[in-house]
Amino acid sequence: MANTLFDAPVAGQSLTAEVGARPWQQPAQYSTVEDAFEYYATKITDPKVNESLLDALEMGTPVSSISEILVQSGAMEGKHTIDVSILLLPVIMELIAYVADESGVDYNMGLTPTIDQDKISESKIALSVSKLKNKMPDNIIEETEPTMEPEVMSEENLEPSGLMSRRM
Amino acid sequence: MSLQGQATTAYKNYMNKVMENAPKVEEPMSGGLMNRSRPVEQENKTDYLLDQFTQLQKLRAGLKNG
Repeated sequence: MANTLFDAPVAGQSLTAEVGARPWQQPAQYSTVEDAFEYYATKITDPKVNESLLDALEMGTPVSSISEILVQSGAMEGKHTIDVSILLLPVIMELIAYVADESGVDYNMGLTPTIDQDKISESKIALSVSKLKNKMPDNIIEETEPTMEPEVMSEENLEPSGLMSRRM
Repeated sequence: MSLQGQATTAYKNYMNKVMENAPKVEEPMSGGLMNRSRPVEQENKTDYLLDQFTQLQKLRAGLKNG
């Protein structure tokens, strides 16, 4: 979570380029959702173009992530505005799923979050450790520390104990 | 600029909308042969994207059902 919090541009970074220099600062190429959807529909349904898309689906990339990347790159290229991209998202997801169904590719829509049962988060480990520390008083911890005392071996114990050994 | 999780939320919203929409019931346009009142077309406000969404869902269902 901490990584995503700081995964953002530096304050004032948008002012380092001239206004209008970026594609998304220009008027959008497709101003309506109909036009923008036409643009994506022709791209996604084109068998020459969608090979890499189907490869990504086969590798397990969720449909939701692919469609997010698609519309985000469209907005960054100045094809349409970011509002249009959010409006287009569900329809593009459905279109990608349709193309995958048609070509017989198994895919993950990415609607249900996958929880790895074997993976224990670091916060849970830290919480359980702190609970354990609170439960254990200090004197118990001191008592449990092993004390190494040198054992005095008596001479009686030194007798050989093997089957073939001779008694002294 | 990042769309983290927007697709999932938008998709679920659309699914809810589609499920809430009641099927259209066609009503008779005229009230008989001698009726003089002109048939007036009802204003059908359609959402282009929602239409496309439902069409694609139907196509997908058709593919799955063979």
